[in-house]
This record gives sequence, C-alpha cells and structure tokens, in this order.
Amino acid sequence: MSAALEAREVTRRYCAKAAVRSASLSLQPGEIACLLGPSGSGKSTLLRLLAGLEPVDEGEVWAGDRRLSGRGSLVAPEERDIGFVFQDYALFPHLTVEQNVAFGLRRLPAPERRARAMLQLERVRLADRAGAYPQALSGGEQQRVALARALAREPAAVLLDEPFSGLDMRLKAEVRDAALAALRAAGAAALIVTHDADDALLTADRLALMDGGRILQTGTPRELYLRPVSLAAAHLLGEADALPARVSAGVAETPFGRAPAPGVPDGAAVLMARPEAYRLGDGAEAEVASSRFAGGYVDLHLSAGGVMAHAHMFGAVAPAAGERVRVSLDPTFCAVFPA
Amino acid sequence: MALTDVPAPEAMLARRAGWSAPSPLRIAALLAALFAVAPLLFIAALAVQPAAGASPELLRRYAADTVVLALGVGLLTTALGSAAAWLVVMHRFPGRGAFEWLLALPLAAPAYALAYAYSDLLDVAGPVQTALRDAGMGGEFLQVRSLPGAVFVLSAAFYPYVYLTARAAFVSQSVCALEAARTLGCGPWAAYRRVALPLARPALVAGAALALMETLADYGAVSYLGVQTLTTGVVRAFAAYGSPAGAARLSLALLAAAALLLVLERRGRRGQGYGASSARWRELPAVRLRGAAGWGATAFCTLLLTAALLLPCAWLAVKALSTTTDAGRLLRAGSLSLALAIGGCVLTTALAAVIAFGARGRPLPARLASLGYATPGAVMAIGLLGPAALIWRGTGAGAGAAVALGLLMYAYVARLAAAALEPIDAGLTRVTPSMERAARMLGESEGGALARVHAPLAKGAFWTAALLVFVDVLKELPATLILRPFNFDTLAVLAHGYAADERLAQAAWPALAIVLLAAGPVALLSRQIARSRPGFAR
Repeated sequence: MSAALEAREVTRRYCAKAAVRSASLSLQPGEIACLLGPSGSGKSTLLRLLAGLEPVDEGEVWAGDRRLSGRGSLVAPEERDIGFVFQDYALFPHLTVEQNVAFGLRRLPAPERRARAMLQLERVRLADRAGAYPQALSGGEQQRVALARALAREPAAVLLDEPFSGLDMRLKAEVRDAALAALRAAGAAALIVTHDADDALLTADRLALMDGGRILQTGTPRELYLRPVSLAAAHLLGEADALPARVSAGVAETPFGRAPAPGVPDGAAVLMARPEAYRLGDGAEAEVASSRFAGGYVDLHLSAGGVMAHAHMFGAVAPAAGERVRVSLDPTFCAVFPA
Repeated sequence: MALTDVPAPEAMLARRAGWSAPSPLRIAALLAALFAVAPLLFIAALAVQPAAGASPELLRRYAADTVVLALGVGLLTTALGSAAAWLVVMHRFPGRGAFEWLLALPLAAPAYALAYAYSDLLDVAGPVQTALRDAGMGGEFLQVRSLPGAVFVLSAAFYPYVYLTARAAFVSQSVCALEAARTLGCGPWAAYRRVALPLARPALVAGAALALMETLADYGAVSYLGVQTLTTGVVRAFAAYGSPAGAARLSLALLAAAALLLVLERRGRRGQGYGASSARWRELPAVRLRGAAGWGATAFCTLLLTAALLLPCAWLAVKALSTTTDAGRLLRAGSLSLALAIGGCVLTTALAAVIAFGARGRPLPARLASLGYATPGAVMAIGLLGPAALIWRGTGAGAGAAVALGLLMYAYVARLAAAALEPIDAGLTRVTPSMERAARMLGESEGGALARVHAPLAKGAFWTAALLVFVDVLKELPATLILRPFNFDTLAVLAHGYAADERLAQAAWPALAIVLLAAGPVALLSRQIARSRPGFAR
C-alpha cells in the first residue's frame, strides 16, 4: 500500500542551521500518527514541509505516487489535497463558523457546499453554532471548527500542529476525544504534532519521536514506551531511570535487581527502567527515601548502593519513608543499552 | 503617517519566517515603490547643472528661517498636542468624549487658510488692533506676517499630528506598567512622569516629525506670511528665476532635512511597538477632574479648537459674506478639486494596496514609498518637470494639458502612497500568518487568499487610507501650482491666487470650501481613530 503522505530524508536549513535533518516519515491511509518531540525539535517545521508551506532543501515529499516537494520543486500548498489545523486555529474573524468551514469548498455549488459544511459541523457537534462568529466561541469550540474546516475538503491527509496545546486540562481530554472521533469518521490519515507525551500515547496508532531535527524512532506507542532504541528516546515518552548495570551472559545486574539483556555485550551498561518497573517483594534490598500518596499509586524514591530510583507502586499498602524494602524489576518495563 | 498605526511585532516577525516563494505581486510591489521615488532621481540629476536662484547666500538665508520655523513649530505642536492627548486619554472632564475626536478636526483646515484669517484678523487695520488702539494699548506685537506669526499659524494647523500619535501611544500603553508603578510607590503624577511619558516619548517624537514634515512642505501659509523657507525658495527659483536647476539644488537641502525627520519618525514608531507588545488590554484608569480643574481642562481644549479651527473659519466666513464671489468660477474650481481628490485617492489607495499586499512583512518597498511622503510637494513637482519636458518635446503642445494632468496625478500618488500604506499595513496585521497559510491549505492561491481573507479584514483600513489621501489632495497647493495645466484652478490654487492679490474676501470663499469639503472625511477619520483601540476588533 502506498503512503498517503511520506517524507523521504528531508532536510530544511535556516541560515546554515538545520531545523530538520534527513527526516523520514510515512503516513498510511486512515492512520492517526503522532509526531512527538520537545519544543525546538523541528517537528512543526517537518509538518510545514509536508504541507508545502516551506520548500525542502534536501529530500522529497510524496503523496502516493505523486511527488510534492523536492530540491527546487514545490507543489503549491493549495494543490496538495492536505488539510492543516493551525496551532492558533487561524479562523477567519470576518466569516461565520459555517462560512469558515465552507471556505475551501468554493468550487462546489452552493447547496452542496452548505451541506458539506453542516455535515462536518455535526461531526464536531457544533451545528448549532453555524451562524456564530469565531470570536464568540470558546477555545475548544474554535479548535473543533478549525478541524471541521480542514476536513471539509475531504483531504487525503490532515496535519495538526499542537492542536490541544491551548486548552486547559479538563477541556483537553474532551476536545481530544471529539477530534479523534471526527478524524476517524472522515477516514483521513492524520499526523498530529505534539510535545505532550500523554496526548501522543493516548491518540496515536503510530508514533514518531523527534529531537534535534532527527527522527529518533517510529512505532506503536507500546513499542516506543517499552522498547526505546536509546535513553534519549525513552526520556521523550515519559519518565525513565537510567540505572548503572553490569551485563554478563545476557543478564543485566543493577542495585535494584536484574533483567534480561539479550544481545548486549558483557560489561558496563545502562538499564532503562520505567517507574512501573519496580515490584515490592523478594529481591535486592533498598531504602525508601520518600513516599507520597498520589491517588492511583504511591510515588516512591528508593535508594540502593548509592543509586536513586523513582517508582510508582500500586497496591493498598505503602512503605513509609526510612523503611527498608526488597524490590525486583519487571523486565517488561526495562530496556538495556551498552554504556 | 503613523496616525493609525498599531503594529503587532509578533505578527511581523512570524511573517518574515513564512512562505517565501517569489511572486509577481512582490515584484509589482517593488515597482510601485520605485514609482514613488523616481522623481527624486531627476532632482539629483538636475541639481548638478548650473543654476540661478540658489546662491549659497540665498540657501543660507532660506535654511536659517526654515530651521527657526521648524524648531518653533516642533516645540509648540509637541507641547499642545501631547498636553491635549494626555488630558483627553487619562482624565474625565466635561466634554471629554467630544473633544477626543474634535481635537483632530483642524486637520480639515489648510495652513494657508489659517494664515489668511489670522493675518487679516490681527492686521494693523484689523478689528483686534483697532480695538487695542482704542483702548490705548499698542498691538504691534500681534504682527502675524513674521516668523513668530508663522510658528503660531503652522502650530495651530499641524498640532493634530502630534495629538493623534500621542493619543494612540497613551491609549495603547500597558495598564500593567502603570499599575506596577503604583504598587512601587508612585502617585498618579509620578507614574505619568516616570512611566507613561517615557513610554510615549518615541511616539511624541514621531508625531512631531510628522508635523515638521508638513512644516517643511508648506508653501501657501509661509509664502503668504512673507517667511522665506526652503520650500518658498524652491517655488521662487522655479517660477521667478525660471531655474529648475536652482529649485532642484534647494530641493536637495529640503530632502536631506526630510530624510532626517523620516529616520526620527521611524525610530519613534519602533519604540511604540515595544510598548504595545507587553500590554494587557483593560480600561485605563482615568482621573476624574472635579470643579475648577475639570472646567480648566474643558477651557484648554475649547481654546485649542477655537484657535486652530473655529475662530479663523468664522473670520473667513465673515469676510466671505461681506462680498459676493464669482460663483461659476468657484463651482468649477470646486468640481476640479473634488475630481482630483477622488481620482488621487482611488489611484493612491490602489497603489498602496499593491505595495501592502505584495510586500507583506518585507519592509523595503514601504520604506521607499515613505521617502515619497517625506518629500515636500514642491520638490516632488520639480522632480517631475524633467520627465515632463521630455514628454512635451515628444508629443507637442497639443497633449500638454493631458500630460500635465497625468504628472499632477503622479505627484499626488507618489507623495501620498506612504500615507495610504500606513493604515492599510496596520489593518493587515489583523491577518495572522497562519490565517494566510490556512487559506492556502484550503485550496486558495495567493491572490485568492488576498481577495477573500486580507481584503475583507482590512476593509476599514482601506477607507481610512482613502479618506486621508482625499483630504491631503484637497488641501495640496505647491505641486498643483507648479504642475497644473494652463488655466486649471483648483480651490487651493484659486485661494492662493486671490490671497496673493490681497483680495482676501475673495480668497475666503475657496478656502472655506476646502474646509467644508474636508470636514466630513476628517470627522469620519477622527471618530474612527478615536474609537479604535489596539487589542479590540475595530
């Protein structure tokens, strides 16, 4: 199957500094993918390269078997069949909600234009605000209008730049779910840029990690969380301890216990452990440095052999600070890298 | 003009980083801007030829009077304009709401109209001096036909430029900064002196620079008052000595001064931008002036308005009604003026729109165009005489009137493109970079995005621009005087001609007609500017 949208080793430089370096990424039809990275990692630039809002300096952008960008060539953004949801939504203040959504449908006859716009508005549950002006809408509503507007042209792919960043926490979950439902209903491939790991994990079918202008790793959220290719990749997707370890015969030994390290050469190594990796019970002895109740889990700082670890423990009984406990590691939440 | 300019620095920065493919529109913008400065090249070419009417001695005399006049007008307009703006923005007193826009209304009265009215009113044989003599006092100090008199007349005519920029600066100042000053122990007066005034200083400089550009450009008032400035020198070198080269040489001195003012004005504007960037928009805390203080403020504003508009217009009306005028001639001149003003405002706004759309976020074309605005009308006209001679030689005398009319239009457009560009550019800051990109992503071409997003959002700004140009063309004198076809009298030319013949009652008719025609647009403009506040939709 050919990709709905694909970047092949694209590079973009500003004043000799590369914002995106040789990044490759493909988006399959109907798939919802997330591009996760800290601010300044080049993810928004990559999105603009895909959209054709900026030319590539090297590499190519393809949609199916159509080349969109290459060195010295550029299909204009309006001819790409790609939707774009801007971080600030970029709604047109002089047009009503319905006129905003119908903006890109000028070639259709008026009744059909209206029907298409209203269908999109119903999908984001804003049909009743069709006559309102964007300024009268809440942030979450504006975001949904922006999405409906991008989807109204039924593009093969939709790009969303930090779509949930301007919203407060409680609104965010609701808007995110509504957006996902609308994207699934449209059946378009979607690429969502975000710096929020929780957003990315909850939203994506597939995830790409980006830092320093490079794509570090792509895969399912589960693969990326549990099997990062590097410590840097592990840190991007959530908290992770880097425990000093010694590997011998495919097993890594740390002050908090051992875990299998297939394929890692003997000697010094680093064991990446997610907070969920620690189990109370038998195993290595550790001291509880701090213990805080965090609702769904207990947040512990453990100390063993001069090394600190951060653990989330689940269960009714929580060890108190100063207590000595025995811990082991759950290999599912661990990965070992050569030092 | 910076009168309506509310820059959004963040939007401009982002725009610069955006879409960068070259487009025909961008090239058109650059060409349009070059169009505005082309006459200046002819000036430079003319100035190196042997010249009469521009000896170093003459140049020094003109320059000395010009400098004194400029200093006087600069100080007086800054004092009057900023005081009026500060009262109106930061205080509550009887009539404040009306004064807020009324104080800009004197823009409708050309400086030469004030010159006619005051020189007659305060003449030795006029009513004031006669009354003073009857009361046993001398009134010779009231002589308006003098350098101090010209300072007074031009200040009355041009203080609105400072008033409007200062008002915009005070209105857009950060309430937070003022409140922070209060929490740090400043009283209201200290907060004004130590925070508000320093923040507004760049805007005051910009406003004063605008007033000074007008002072340099003025011909009608100073020539009537017998003050010899560089601009009167330019016109005289051309008209009396028949020496375009001499006029060009004096023009170069004027252009240097104008360029300096332009730099001042631009720097002042930049400072304004910083002030606005950190602001949170809330109602400004106004001080209620009670009792005598309140009525004092009302009296100050009334006095200013009376001196700059009401009194001179009333006196002109009295003079006008004492005679009858050639109604046919007045009507012809009126319709000519109106036609020129409408034509000029359509062409100029169109050209400014090309520059504004084509040069979004790229400052070069706008800077070039603003050079045209700083150029006095007389200088612009001299710059156009070179190409005019070439065309006349090529076409013969038959096409003379049409060519002259075309050149006159050229002068208006070149001189006023920047004035029209300013509000349009400010209006376009409402279009964020991502709005333009959103239109592109929704299938619109660059031109389509301009037509469907930029143009409707900047609609109000287009009207502002058109009104500004309309009023300026209506009042324009020196360029029209130099470039007009034979027997082609606008209201301004008619008034100037009568006044030069000392037929003041006759001059009052066209002068008043200009004020009446300009008053409507100026009132509209002034109200619109008074209502708009950055941070709110217009």
